[in-house]
This record gives sequence, C-alpha cells and structure tokens, in this order.
Amino acid sequence: MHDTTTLLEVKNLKVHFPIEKGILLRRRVGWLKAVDDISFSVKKGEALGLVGESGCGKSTTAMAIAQLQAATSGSVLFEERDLRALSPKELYEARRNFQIVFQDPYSSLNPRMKAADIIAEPMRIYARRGALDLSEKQISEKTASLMERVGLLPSFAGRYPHEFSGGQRQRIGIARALALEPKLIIADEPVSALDVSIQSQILNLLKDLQDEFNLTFLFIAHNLAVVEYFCSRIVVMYLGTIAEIAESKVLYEKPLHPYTKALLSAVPIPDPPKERLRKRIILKGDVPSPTKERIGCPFRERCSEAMERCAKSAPPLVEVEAGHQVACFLYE
Amino acid sequence: MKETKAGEAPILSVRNLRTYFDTEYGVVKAVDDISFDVRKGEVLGLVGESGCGKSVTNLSLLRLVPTPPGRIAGGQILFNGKNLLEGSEEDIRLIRGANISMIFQDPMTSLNPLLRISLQIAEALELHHGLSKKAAVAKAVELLKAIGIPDAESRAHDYPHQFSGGMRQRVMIAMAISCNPDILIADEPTTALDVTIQAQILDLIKNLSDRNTMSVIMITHDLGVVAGMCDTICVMYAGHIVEKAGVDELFSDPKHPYTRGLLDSVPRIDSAWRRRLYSIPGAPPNLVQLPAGCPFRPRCERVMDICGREFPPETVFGEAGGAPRSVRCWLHVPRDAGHEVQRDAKHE
Repeated sequence: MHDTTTLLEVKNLKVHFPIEKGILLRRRVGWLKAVDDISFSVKKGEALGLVGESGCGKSTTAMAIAQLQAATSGSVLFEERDLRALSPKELYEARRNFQIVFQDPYSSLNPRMKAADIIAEPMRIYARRGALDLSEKQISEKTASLMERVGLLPSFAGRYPHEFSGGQRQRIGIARALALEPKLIIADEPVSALDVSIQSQILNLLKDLQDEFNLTFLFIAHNLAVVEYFCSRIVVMYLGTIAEIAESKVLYEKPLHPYTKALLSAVPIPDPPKERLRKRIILKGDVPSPTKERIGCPFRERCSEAMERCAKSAPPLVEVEAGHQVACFLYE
Repeated sequence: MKETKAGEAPILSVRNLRTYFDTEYGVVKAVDDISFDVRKGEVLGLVGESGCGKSVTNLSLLRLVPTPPGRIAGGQILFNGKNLLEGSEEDIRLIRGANISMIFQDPMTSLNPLLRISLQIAEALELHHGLSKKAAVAKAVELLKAIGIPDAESRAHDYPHQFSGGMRQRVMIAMAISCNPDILIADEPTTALDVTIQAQILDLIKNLSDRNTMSVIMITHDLGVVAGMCDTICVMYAGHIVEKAGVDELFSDPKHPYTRGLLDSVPRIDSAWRRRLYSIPGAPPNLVQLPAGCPFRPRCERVMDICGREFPPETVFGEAGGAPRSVRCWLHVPRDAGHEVQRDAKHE
C-alpha cells in the first residue's frame, strides 16, 4: 500500500528539561529526561503509533518533531532535511508539510474565530506571505470543500467553536490540519477526549482521509486498542525511552518486552467470557519519576524478569526479527 | 463468575427515580424514570456516554445533587427497605460513608490538599464508628496497608500532592471502604489513570467486593472495564435505562440498537484484523431539546414510525442466568401489547 521511502526520521532525539531551585539565584539541580535518546522512522503513507503511559514522553516527542519544543540534541530528518538545523524562514516553509491535530478540541480552537476562519487561517497566512498561490475566493471554496470532507455542514461556517460538540470541534481541527495539504499529520491523542460513539466516527474519518490523500500519520495515544486499529506500526515508549517497535499485528500477537506484555494484558477486552479467562499481569507500583538519575533499564523496578545486569546498563534497542526491535536483555 | 444473586432480596432498590435540573433553557431531565436493583455482593455497571445521566443517578442515590438547580422530582431509593429520599439531612449523613460510600473519578480534586492523608481517612471512622483520633489514624494506616500503599506507616502522614494518581485513587478507596460499607459507588474510578494502574485499581475493587461481599455500582463509559468487573449492566441513554442485562447476555446478545452500536464501535485489541469500526451516526442528544418518542430515534438504524410518537415501554425478558433482563425499544415490544394497533395503522 505505501512505498518504503522514509518521510521522517528521528535520530538520537533527547529532550531534557532543567530542574531549577532557588528564587534569586536559580541553579540547576538536575535534569528531567522527558525524551532520552530515541530513534525511529516513519515511512511514507504509513500510520505509526506512539504509545505509552502518561509521562513516558510521547507528547514531548511529538512536539519536538513539530519543532514546537526545542530538543536538547539529536536530529529530526523530514524528507532528509534536519528540521533542527533550518533557519526560521526555512522552517516556516517546511511546516506546511507537517500539521498537528491536538488532543483537546476545546482548547485548541480560538473561541473568537468562526469555524470557517479557523480552517482557512493556515491558507490565509501562507497566501499573505506569498507562499501559497490562492485568492481569497479560492480559499473560501477550499474551506467549504474541506468542511464537507470532514463531515461538517456548510451552514456551520459562521458558527463559533462553543456552538459545536466535541466531535464536531475535532472535525474542525482535522480540517485545519488538512488545509495546507501536508504530507505528515501528527495526531496527539486525537480521540481520547471524545465519547465512544464519536471516537469511532473520528477514527474512521482519519482512516478515510489517510487513504484519500495518501497521508502519513504519527499517531500518539495511550489507548492501545485505538492504536491497534489505526496504526500499521507501533512504538512503545517507557520513561522517555523506546521499549519496543513492531508492526502492530506482530506487537499484539507476539509482544516481547515485559512492559509491552504487561501493557497489553492490562487493556480490558469488551468480551466477558474472554475477560474472565485472561491472565492479567499486574505491574507493581508506579512509573518512577523521570527526574531520578538512573543507570540500567528504566523498567527494571517493575519488571518480573529483571536480572542483575539490568541494573548495570540500559539495554540497547536491537532488531530481533525484521522490523521488530526491542530494548531488553532477554532477547540479546 | 460469582454465583447468582437473583434469589436474594435487593439491598438497594431504585424505583422510578427522576432527577431534574431547572436551567434557563428549560427543565433538563438528567435522570428520567429509572429503576434498578442492587443485590448483596453484586457488581452493577452503569454504562453510557457523557450526559446520559449516569453520574447524576449516583449523586441522587446519596442525595448529593446540587439543589438548586437540581432536584429529585420523584421516585424512591429504598436502602434495606427504607426510602433514602424521605429522611432528614441528618439521616442521610449517617448513611453516607457508613453504608453507602463513593469514590470519584478525579482523585486529584477529591482529596483535601491541606490535610494529611491519614487524617482524611480517619475522619469517617471518627464520625461513624466513634473512634478516637489516635485509634482512627491507626486504622487508617492499616487500611493503607491493605490497599497496597508501600511503606504505609510513613506515607500515611504525607499530603495528597506527594502521592501519584494511582495512589491517590487507592486513598480514595481506603476512605470509601473504611467503614465497611454495604455499597460502594465508583464513578469512573479509573478514567483518569493509566492502563496499567487501571488494572491495579480494578483488581483491588474486585477483591474488596469479593472478600467483603460488598456491592459495587460501577459507573463507566468503558465497555472493556464493565466486561471484566460487572455482574449486571444497565445501559443509559439520555436519562433512561435503555437496556438491563447480565454481563454475558448483554455482550453476546445486545437487544437495543444503541447497545449494539456501542459494542461495535469500540476498537478492541483482540479483534479480527482491520475490521472497519461501526460508528453510530450523530451525537448524543441535547437534554434540553429531546426529540419526541425514543431519544435514540435520530441515530437509530432501525427506526420505525412509532418511535417518533411514544417512548417505548420496558419489555422484560425471562430471568435468564439469574439476572433480570429488560429493554426499552419498540423492536422488542411484543405484538400483543396493545401498541400494535398504532404501529400497523401507520403502515397501511
């Protein structure tokens, strides 16, 4: 379905936030390593899922890729150009190729703007700067067709965000992200704020759009069932690092990393007889604080398979089968 | 599955409960004529989307609906035969926390940030069991141990902000079970939590329910959670219970088109590969302007003429598997129920 050219490549990306103390003389007392040396790539036309629990660094990764958060080190290659090395002007031009759909459809739309203006704004900005050759009339037409495409009635054009339901607002956000015909859509928890019946509407819409416009998705979510449905490949993150990368079918059928196993076993299945028979791996304790200086595997305190060497050094991400990478000493 | 509790008398019976809110746009019937029973040791699930009335139902049970604008407009809530809606405020206070207790969705905002954890748990014990402060705090530490807080002796004296989300929810549970309640109401207890922490908390609630034969009313929008936890399920839509069934029957043979639609629209990790999800068209209704007849009508694929005229009566099925089963949908109203005439008349 999709070719194998790489659209986005993340190499050794690190995002560390300084922890400061003191009021007058602020000094750095440590680092919060939100994203700690991760590498992965997104192929053209695929939907790559980024999953993990809160605080694992998945959103920070997305923001660092979108250049909305400065990375500490590493590179973000979009079509082989490092976005981190671009000048502001070059970055501005590159941005039209990657757009974001945000999690919260309530706070990500300007309450003082009409729906049509929200959707048209990216086009207007680029047209004003001469980077997009569209007249105001063409922009209006394009806005109308985008609204229709995402399932909003033309009569909604003059309405303000508060007049829409959560699902409709998310449709506005999607139309806005599509306005510049990007190659990559970064969707940060696009359905987690929505009701079950609306969630499936939006997921199906995104899937149709992907096929129709040959879009590439970086899809961030904590809901594994949603990611399984939407994505062809999945990156599992834990505490700022990558635990496992695999095709979604492989990941769900044959997870390797003990964390992935626990995570999958914790997802409830809406099937009572099956659910009663399932063996759940209940992880002990919470995710440790990312501010703690650590050596060794980040998962070892909660891991049932922890060995001595896990405390000494962190396992590297190695390929165990074609396309299946895992960071665990069990599979060395 | 636990043995059936159908033979036992219910400890809580909700009969024709109506909770209305008077707003400037009109009367919002958040809960409109619902009835259900909770038996000893039963885990009852109330499932529905936002605005379906599931949380208001539970606030009504303990008379916690903010008044005004809310008011309980009718019905009965019989706890061990006594109507909770009748007694004085003091009467209901003796029930809250002691016999029926509640855990809320958001453990961050439901704990007092200025009070040490131990004191917050001890409060109910002092009030209901008349323990001294010292004894109550000691019991609180014991409870924290029982629910799996590591290093409970010292952590008991921490403040809520020093606890993680999962631990705060454990504290909420410790508070709720401190007086050995008969019924625990859990309002979306794991929605704010990560999936591995959710598994821990659900496991804990289930164990507590089994061990203490405590009944649980579990409110959630997550059908996966219900499947693993509940014995009986009530599906709510626009203030009504549209379907009531034992958990196995509900999932294997959903009768209401809404229930069926919900089940089909949830992505699941064990599903056949790349099946397209079903989606129910439209959005949950605005409770101020409900359509006439069945509120699900505008989104229903099997809509008939009669659906627009009249809200469907409750059709009760045989008590298969011990759990009462009923549905409110014209598709299931038997042909001899007297409504047939109207249905046919329109088709002629």
